[in-house]
Amino acid sequence: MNIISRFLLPSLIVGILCGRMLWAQEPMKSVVLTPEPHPSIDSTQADSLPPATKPRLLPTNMSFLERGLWDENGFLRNIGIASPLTPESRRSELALRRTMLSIHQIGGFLTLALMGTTVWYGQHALDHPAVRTYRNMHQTFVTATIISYTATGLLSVLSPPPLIRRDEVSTTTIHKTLAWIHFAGMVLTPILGASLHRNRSMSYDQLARFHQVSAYVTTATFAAAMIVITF
Amino acid sequence: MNTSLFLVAAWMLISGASALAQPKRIDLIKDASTVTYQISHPLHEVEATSKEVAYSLDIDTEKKEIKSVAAQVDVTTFDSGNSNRDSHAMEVIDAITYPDVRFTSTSVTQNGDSVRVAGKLTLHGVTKDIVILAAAKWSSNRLDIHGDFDISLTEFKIERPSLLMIPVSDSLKFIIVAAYRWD
Repeated sequence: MNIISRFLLPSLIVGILCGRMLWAQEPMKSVVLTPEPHPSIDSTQADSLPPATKPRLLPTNMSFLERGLWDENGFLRNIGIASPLTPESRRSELALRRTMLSIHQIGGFLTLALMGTTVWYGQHALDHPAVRTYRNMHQTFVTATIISYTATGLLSVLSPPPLIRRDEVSTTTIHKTLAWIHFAGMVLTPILGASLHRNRSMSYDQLARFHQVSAYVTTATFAAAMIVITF
Repeated sequence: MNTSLFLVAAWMLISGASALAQPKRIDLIKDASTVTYQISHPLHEVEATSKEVAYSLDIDTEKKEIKSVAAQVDVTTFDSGNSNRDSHAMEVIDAITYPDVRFTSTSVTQNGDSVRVAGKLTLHGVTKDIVILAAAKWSSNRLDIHGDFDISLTEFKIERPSLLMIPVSDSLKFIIVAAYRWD
């Protein structure tokens, strides 16, 4: 009895638990897609319908980065961060994609607010060069904007691919086209700002003007990219 | 001999009459048949159409009466003009597990051009009774049907998709356009 209670029972419990865990890891079995029978349904009529077509797990036209990361032999699957491509793993990836894109939307609002504040302080720093506070606040918000912008962008770029993607012009494709423009602006504007006091080939006023225009165009494009998604 | 001939003739008449009374399955005009769903979001209305719907219809061509109806559509074929949005819709209805929507009639009642079809709709693995009110337009060798019905996403255990943290309405309308021809 002592041996049973000390060794056999715990072994049995551990064995059952391990078995359940292994069972839970098995890929999902295929689902039979027949509607529930009903006594008054004309079965020949129901049988005349075609069987359901299982959707492809990945879209045919993935971007270069999506293919590299999330394809059947993508980088994330090869190094074990993402599970092998199965219906069950794709279902989890789509849930992850939804979470990432929801945070991406919140990040967009936060980044726009930070960007607007950065522009406001930047404009005041240009209008009142003697007031040091404006420039300091501008620089602080530049850092915050870059961090927020990068995190928000990465949430979209690194998210798992959708279930389908068609070749089309839609609000989403316009949103992505505008993203390329504000991304270029987000690279150019800080470089121009940083070179204001270093560049000797152009006058301060000229560079300040370029920096200012670049900042306004970037903010406007970013806002447009957000607005277009609502149509 | 005469008795045999009489029996054969009687059998042919009976079988012919019963063949006439049998509902006839008619051919769908695929190019003219669609199913569309409409859903509302505070920012805009969404409408997605599938042209890949399979409608099966049995009719009595003599009486011009619809006897039974069935329909099936793969959820990946709905196109709202924005595949990102369509993919989001497929996520919430779990298109990997439940790739299609099916309907099979349990009763059809017809009053002139008005048709009331009751049946079972299976969506997202949930089967519910629904009623479709439709208009049937009969011509010499063509039948056009236009109908619609509403469902509740909650009743089909579908999480409402959201944009900018605002969910879509719970009510979703299906619009059915089907055209058939027979010889």
